[in-house]
Amino acid sequence: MDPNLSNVDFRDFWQLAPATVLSVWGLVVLLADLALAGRMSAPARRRAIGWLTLAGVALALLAAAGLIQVQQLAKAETQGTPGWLSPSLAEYFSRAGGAIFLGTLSADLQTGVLNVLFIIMLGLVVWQSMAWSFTEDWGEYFALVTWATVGMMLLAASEELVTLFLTLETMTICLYLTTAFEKTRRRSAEGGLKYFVYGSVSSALFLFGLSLLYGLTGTTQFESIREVLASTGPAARGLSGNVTGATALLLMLVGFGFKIAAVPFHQWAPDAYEGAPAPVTAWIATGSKLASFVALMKVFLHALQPWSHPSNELLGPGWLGVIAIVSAVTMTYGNFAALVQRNFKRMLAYSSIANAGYMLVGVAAASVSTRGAEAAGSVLFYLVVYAFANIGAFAVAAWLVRDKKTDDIDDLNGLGMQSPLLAICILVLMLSLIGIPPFAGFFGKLYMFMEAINQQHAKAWPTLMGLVALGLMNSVVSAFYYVRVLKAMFLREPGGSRRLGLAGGSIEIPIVIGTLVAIFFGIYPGRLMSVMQGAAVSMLTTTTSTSGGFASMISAPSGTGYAPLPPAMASAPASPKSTRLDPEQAKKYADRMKKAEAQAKALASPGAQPKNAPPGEAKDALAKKAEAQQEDQ
Amino acid sequence: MSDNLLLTSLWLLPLIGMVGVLAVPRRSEAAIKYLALAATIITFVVTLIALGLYVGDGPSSAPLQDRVIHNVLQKDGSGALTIADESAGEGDLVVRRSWIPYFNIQYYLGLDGISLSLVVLTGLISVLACLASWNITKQVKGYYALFLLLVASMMGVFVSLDLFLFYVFFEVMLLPMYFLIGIWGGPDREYAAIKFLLYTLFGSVFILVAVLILFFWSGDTTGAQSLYNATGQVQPFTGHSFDIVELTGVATKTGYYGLGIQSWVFVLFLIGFLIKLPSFPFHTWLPDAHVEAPTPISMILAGILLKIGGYGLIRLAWPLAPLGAHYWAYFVAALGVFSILYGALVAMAQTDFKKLVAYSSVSHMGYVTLGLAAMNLLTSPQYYAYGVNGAMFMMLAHGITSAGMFFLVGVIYDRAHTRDLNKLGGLNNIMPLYGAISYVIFFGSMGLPGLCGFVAEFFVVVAAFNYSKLLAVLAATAVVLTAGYILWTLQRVFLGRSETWKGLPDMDLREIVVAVPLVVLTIAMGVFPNTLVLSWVSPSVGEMVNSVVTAARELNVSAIRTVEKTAPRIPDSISAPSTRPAVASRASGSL
Repeated sequence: MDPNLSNVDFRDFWQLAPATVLSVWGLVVLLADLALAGRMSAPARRRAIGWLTLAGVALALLAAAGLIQVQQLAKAETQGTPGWLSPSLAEYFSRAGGAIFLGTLSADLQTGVLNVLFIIMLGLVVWQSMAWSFTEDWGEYFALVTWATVGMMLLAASEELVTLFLTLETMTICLYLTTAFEKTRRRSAEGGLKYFVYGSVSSALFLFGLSLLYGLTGTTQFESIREVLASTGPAARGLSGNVTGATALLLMLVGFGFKIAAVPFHQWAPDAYEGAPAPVTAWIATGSKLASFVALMKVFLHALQPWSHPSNELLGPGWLGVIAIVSAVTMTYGNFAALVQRNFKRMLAYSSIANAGYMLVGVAAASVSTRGAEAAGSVLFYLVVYAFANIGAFAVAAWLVRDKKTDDIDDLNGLGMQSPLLAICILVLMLSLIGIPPFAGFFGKLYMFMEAINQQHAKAWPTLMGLVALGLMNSVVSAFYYVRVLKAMFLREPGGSRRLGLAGGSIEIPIVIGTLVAIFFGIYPGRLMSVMQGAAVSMLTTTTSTSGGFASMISAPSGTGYAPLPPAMASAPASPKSTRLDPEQAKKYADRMKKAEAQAKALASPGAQPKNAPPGEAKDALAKKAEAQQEDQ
Repeated sequence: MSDNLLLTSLWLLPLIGMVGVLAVPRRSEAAIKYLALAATIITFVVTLIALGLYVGDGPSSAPLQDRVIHNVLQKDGSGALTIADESAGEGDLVVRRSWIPYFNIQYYLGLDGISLSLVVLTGLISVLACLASWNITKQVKGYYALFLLLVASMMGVFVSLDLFLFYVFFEVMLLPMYFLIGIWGGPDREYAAIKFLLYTLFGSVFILVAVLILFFWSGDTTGAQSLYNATGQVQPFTGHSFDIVELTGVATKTGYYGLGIQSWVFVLFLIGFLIKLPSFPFHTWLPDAHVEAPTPISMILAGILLKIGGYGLIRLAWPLAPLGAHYWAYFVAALGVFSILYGALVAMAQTDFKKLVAYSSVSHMGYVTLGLAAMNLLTSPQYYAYGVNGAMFMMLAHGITSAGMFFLVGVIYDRAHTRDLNKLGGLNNIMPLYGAISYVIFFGSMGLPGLCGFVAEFFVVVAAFNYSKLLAVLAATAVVLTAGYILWTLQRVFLGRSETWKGLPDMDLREIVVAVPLVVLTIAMGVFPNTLVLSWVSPSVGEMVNSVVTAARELNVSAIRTVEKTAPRIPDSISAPSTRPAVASRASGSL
C-alpha cells in the first residue's frame, strides 16, 4: 500500500448511516418476505411488506435528519466537547464537513439535504406501490427500490469517478429490474429490456469516457481533475486539437444524457416510462433524474469547469456550446413530441424529457456564472419542485391502471365531477408543471431562467437569453398537452365501462403532498431557495476532509498530456496564438519520444529482454509503440 | 381603514367569497348564489370606499410617485427587506411589503386614477355579471367559485405595482376563464377555451420577457437613481427591480434604458397586451371566445378583461419604454386605425348577434391604441393628453356599453334561443322596455353625442388629427361605419313586424336591475364626463403623459432634432386650447 495514503477513518461510517440503514433494511425486507411467502396471499403480503419498508424509510429518515442535526450541533459547540457525544466522535463531527473515505464521498450540507429528500420521495414511492398488485414478488420489489435509493444517495455524494460509476450502476441496475417487474404485461418487459440495452451501452461509453479522462489527468478525484485542467494555462485548455479530451467529454455526455433523458439519448424513456409500473416510473422520473443531475453538475460544473468555455467563446472549444444545443433541442423535441401523446405516462415521459432541457439551461448558466454555485441552486430548486409534482402525477397513473387497467388521458374523463378535491389537486400539479403562477413550478422555472439571464458574461448573454426565450415559448407549447388532462377531468363526461374507484390513501397521499409542495413553495419560495443555494455551494466548492488532510489523499497526478506544470512555468504568460502547438507541450512530447527511443534501444539489445516475454514479440510491440508515438507527434 | 387592509381586501374579498362558496353544500344553490352576490357587492362597496378616499382631500390625492416614498422598505441585518415606517403614508392607498427578497419581489399595491377607475368598473361589472348569472343551472357551485376567482385576479392585476405580482395575477386570470368558457360555454366551447388560453399564454410570454429584460438590463447608470430608499439618500439605480413606479421614473427621467433596449421592451409589451386588448392581427380568439362564452362571462370578458390589455399599455408599455413607444408610434397608430376600420367592416358582415358585438369591441379597442399612439411631441403635449384621456375614457365607456350589449344579446338568446340577426325582428313591439334599453346602450356604443362613447371618440380623434391628418380622417370615417352596422343591427332586430316572436316576455325585474345601472351610466358619462370621470382620472393620466413626453423629448434628442428642422415647434400659447384646464396647467407647468 502506498505509504502516503492515510488509513480509512472508521468514524466515516457514521456519515453513511442513512444509506447503511436502507441497505440493511433491503435485506430485512427480503427475509421477511421469504418468511411470509407461504403463509400470506400476495395482496396481504403487499401491505405487510410495504409497511415494513415504510418503517425502514422512517428509520432512515430519522438517521438522515439526526445526522444533519448532530453535524450542526457539533459545529455550533465551540467550547469543549458536548456531553452527549463521545470525545472522539465530538471531535470528528466538529470539524468542517467534507470528504470521507479517502475523499471518495462527500458528507456535507448537500448530501444531508439530498438524503432527506431522497428518503421522503422513496417513502412516497413505496406508499404508492402499495396501491395495487402489479407483482407477487413484493420482497424483491421493495428491496430493489430501496437499494436503488441507496445508489442515488451515494451517487449524489460521490466525489470521484470510480465511485460515481459504481453508484450510478447500483442505481440503474435496480431500476432496470423493477421496470420489468410487472410480468403479466408484455410492455413492462419490453420497457425493461429497452431501458437495459440502451442503459448498458451508454454505461459502457460513459466508462470509456471516464477512463480517457483518467488517462488525461491521472486522477479520478473531481477536485484534482479541476486543478489539473485549470493549471495547464489558458492556451492548453479546451478541446480544439485535443481529440482525447473531446472524446472523453462527449462520451461522458452520452452517459449523463441517457440518465437524464436528453435528446438524442432519450429513446428509451417513453417506452420505459409507459411500460414500468407507475411507482417505478415515478422513481425513474424523479429520484434517478435528481441524482443524475446532481452528478452531472458535480462532474461538469466542478471537475470539468475549466473546459466549459476555455476561449471565452460560447460556441468555442468547450462543453458549454454542446450543452446549450442539447438543451434547446431537448426541450423543443420533448414538448412537441408530447403534443401527440394519448397515454398519460407517455406524455409525462416526454414532459420529463422537455424538463431535462429546461434544467440544462440552468446548468449552462451556472457554468458561465461568476457565482455558479448559487446559479446551480436554482437547478436543484427546480428539480425538487418538479420531482414532487411528478410523484403526484404518477400516483394518478397508478390510480388509472389499478381501476381501469389502462392509463390513457381519456381515462381521466369526468374525474372533476366524481372526486372534485383530488381533481383540483391534480389541476394544481398540472399547472405547476406548465409553470403557471402562483405555483412552485412557475417560480422554479422563472428562478432558473432569471439566474440564466443574470450572467454578466457578455458573449454568453445573447445565447442564454435565447435559450430562456425558447424555454418560455416551450412552456406555452407544454400548456397544450397538460391542459388536455384538465380538459378530460373537467370538461368531459365520465365514460367507459370501468369507473375509477375511491383513490385510497396510497394514491391520495402522494397527490396531496405534491399539491401542497406546489402551493407552499410557489408562495413562499424563500426558505427552499436558501437551502438549495447552500446545498449547491457545498456541492460545487472544494470540500475539506473530516478524516485527515484531504490534499494528502489525492494521489499526485501522474498523467501524460495534462501533467501540471512547475509553478514557474505555469505562471509564465502563455503566448496567445499558440493554441495549435504549445511549446511546453512540444517539449514534453519530445522528452517522451526520447524516452521511448531509449527504451526501444534498450530492449532491442538481447541482454535486456524480459524473461517472461518472447523476445521477438516484445521487441516488435515496443518498436511499434515507439513508431506510433512518433506518428503521434 | 389602513391601506393594507383596504387594498388587500380588494382582491382577497372575492377569494374569501370563493372559499365560502366552496364550503356550502352543492345542493343549496340559492345560498351559493346569494353568497357570491354578497361577496361581489361587498367588493364593489370597498372599491367605492377607495374611490371616496382618492377623490377626497386626503394624502391619497398626490401623484403616485410622491405617495410611494412614504412607504419605505429597508434591509435589516439579515438582508431581508422590512417595512421601515408606514405611518407617514397612512391613507395614501399604497402598500409595500417584502415578498421574495432574493429577487427584490414585493407585495406592492397602489391605486391612482388610472387603476382606480378600472377597479371601480370591475367592481360594478362583477356585481352585474353575478346577477346576470342567475339562470346558470349547471354545476352552480363550481361556476360561482371560478367566477369569484376571476374577479379576484382581475382586481389583483389592477392594484399591483410590482411587475412580478402583476404577472402572477395576470396568469391566474387565465385558468378560471378557461374553465368558465370550457364548461359553461356553447357547443364549440372546448375549441374556444383552448384558443383563448393559448393566445393569452403566448402573449404573457412576451410580457414576461419584457419584464425580465427590464429587470436584468444593466444600462448607463449616469444620473440613474434609485428613487426610494430608506435613509432618504439617493442611491444609484442598478436594475434588478420589479417596482413599476421606480422603473417608470428611471425609464422616463434617465438614460438608463437606451432607445435600443426600450424599442425591444416596447414591442414585447405591445404584442403581449395587443393580444389581450385585442388588436388586429391577434384578435381571432375574441369572436370565438365571445360566441361560446355564457352571457355573464361575455360581459366580464368585454367589460373588464379586454381593459387589462389597455391598462397594460397605459401602465407598462408606454411609461416603461417611452423612447420605444415614440419610435414605434406611427406604426402603432396605424395599427389602431386599421383595427378600427377592420373591426367595423367585419362587424357589418356578421349575422351572429354576439359575433357582431365582439367585432365591434375590436373596432372600439382600436381607439385605445390610436389614442395612446398619437404622440405628437412637436406641439403642446396637451393633444397627447387628449389622446390618452380619450383612450382611458374609451376603456370605461366600452366597459359599460359592451357589457350592456352582451347582456342584451343574452336576454334575447334566453328567450328566442337564436342569435341569428336575420331571424330576429320586430322585437320593439313585442318587448318595448327591452327595445328602449337597447337603443340607449347601442347608441352609446355607436358614439352618439350626449352618450359616453362620443366623448371618448372625440378626444381620440382630436388627438389623432394633431398627429396625422390621414389617420384622423380614416378614424373619423369609421364613425360612419360604426353607425352603419349598429343602426342596421337595430333595424334588423327591433324594427318591422314579426309573428315568430310574438308572446316573448319583456325583461323581468332581475334583468332590469342589471340593465338600469348601465343605461344610467351610459347617459351620465356622456353628459357629465368631467364631473364623473375625468376630474379624478385625468390628473393621473396627466402624470403619465408628462413623464412620457418629457422622456421622449429630452432623451430622444437626436430623433427630435431631425424632425425639428422640418417642422418648427408651435408655441404652447397658440396651440393650447382652453377646454381642459386641469391637464393644461399640469402639462405646461412642467414643460
